[in-house]
Amino acid sequence: MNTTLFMLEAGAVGEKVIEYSNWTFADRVSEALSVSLLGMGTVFAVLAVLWGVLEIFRFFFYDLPKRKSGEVKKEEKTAKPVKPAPVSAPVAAPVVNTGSDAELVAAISAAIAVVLDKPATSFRVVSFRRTGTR
Amino acid sequence: MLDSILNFLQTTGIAKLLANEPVEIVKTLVMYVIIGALFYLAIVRKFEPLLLLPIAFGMLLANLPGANLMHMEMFLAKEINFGQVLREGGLIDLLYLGVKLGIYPSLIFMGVGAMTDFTALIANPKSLLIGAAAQLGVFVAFSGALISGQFNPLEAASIGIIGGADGPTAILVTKTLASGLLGAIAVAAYSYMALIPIIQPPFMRMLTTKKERSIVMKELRTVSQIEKVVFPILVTLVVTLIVPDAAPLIGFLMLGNLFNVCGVTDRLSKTAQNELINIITIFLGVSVGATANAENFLSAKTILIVVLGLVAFAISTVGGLLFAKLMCFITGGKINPLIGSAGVSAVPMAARVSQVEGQKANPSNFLLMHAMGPNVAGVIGSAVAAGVFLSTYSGVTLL
Repeated sequence: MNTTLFMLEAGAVGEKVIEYSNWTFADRVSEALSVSLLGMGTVFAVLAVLWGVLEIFRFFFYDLPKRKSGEVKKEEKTAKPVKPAPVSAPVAAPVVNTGSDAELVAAISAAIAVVLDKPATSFRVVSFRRTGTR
Repeated sequence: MLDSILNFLQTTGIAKLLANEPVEIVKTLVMYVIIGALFYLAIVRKFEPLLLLPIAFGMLLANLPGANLMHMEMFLAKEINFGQVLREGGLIDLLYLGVKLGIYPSLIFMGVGAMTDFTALIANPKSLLIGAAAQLGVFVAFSGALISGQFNPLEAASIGIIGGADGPTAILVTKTLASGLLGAIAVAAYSYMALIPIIQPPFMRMLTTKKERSIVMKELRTVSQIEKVVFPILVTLVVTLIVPDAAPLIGFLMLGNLFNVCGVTDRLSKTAQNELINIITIFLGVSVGATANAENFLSAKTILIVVLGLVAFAISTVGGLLFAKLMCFITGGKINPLIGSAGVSAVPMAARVSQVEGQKANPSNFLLMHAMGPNVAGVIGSAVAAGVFLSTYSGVTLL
């Protein structure tokens, strides 16, 4: 509309020229609307494409490997029936075992009570999850 | 002897200040008041101090009478005479080349990428759309500035991008399209980013019900290492294939992120997110601040920029919130609309505001990770919006 494109040198350099000094109110509104629509449209389009790509991506790099590993585990289960291991005398195990959830909640509640300096009855642990270890 | 003393006195800054017209003297003094206010905000109130402090000091350096540390006239010409800058320019002129050539915003984005965790976005890619909706303020402010008749389209685009709540993006667009407004736009952008905890909550409470704010969102899935590594490469390809002008920002943002997640470039990642970004922040802040001299900063345009910047922030917040409300409705109440306001980039402050407001409504609610998705999507969205402005107006001559 108000933007004219012409070549400074045939086939070489192009320069956009806007004759802004001649713009009326209607021209400004028209430019604002067209650039805004183009802009919002492009932002939505690019991010929507990314969303789609990430969903495909999820299938290949998350769902599929998970499904495969699930199948592998299933096969292992059917191939090797689990035999109960003979119970030996209890040894101080190096394995980090979390114990029961109730015990864990009690331990976390005690830790929170110490940090907050409040009795454990003044709050309730609704949920907890293990954070990633590095 | 007396002549020597008189000659020396004439070279002092005080003599040069007093030699000006009274209006100019008042303007310089007003600049000192503004600079003092920025120092106060940065040091006492801790508003974005890492950038606001160097910007304020750069403004002080540029407004020292007789010091002539910044020669803005060399950079305002359409074609910069780099030979002249190297021959006649001083330290700040040389540092400003990093802004003018678009070097600093990209390097800062690399550091931001190295520091940013995109896991929440990968786990919940729907939040990309909230990041897109939160760019609404960019285009509303652009339209407002243009329709007001006070700004040409290039200046209006630079003002609009304040709504992206992303300092480096605003600086990259402004240095390309309207470098005369760089000081005012940088100060407005960083000040409003610091004010997000004050600007956003009223809109968040106004546009959501207590029931919506109390929604507890489902825990995000875990993200595999390969997803984290492929993500930055994929985003770079997808975004720059559609909007090549966004490449300087998105490319470096994702390069920094790749350094961080690939597991074999820890040294590069540490450099990008520590020493490099710190050095560049000093260079960027001081040289951007130095562009704000009394002559171009103290004008009605600056006041309008400050007002339009606030409008841009507010509308972006509203855009994100309304879109998140829509998603809440479509998903049958699985999305807490408070995460919508985090779509306005400003990582991680906007996400923290969502977390705080969510906990006020429901103390057992933890929205931070859910809000990080739209938050980092906002960084990508504002870079794409910047790319649209650059592709539309870069290289344009106004007649």
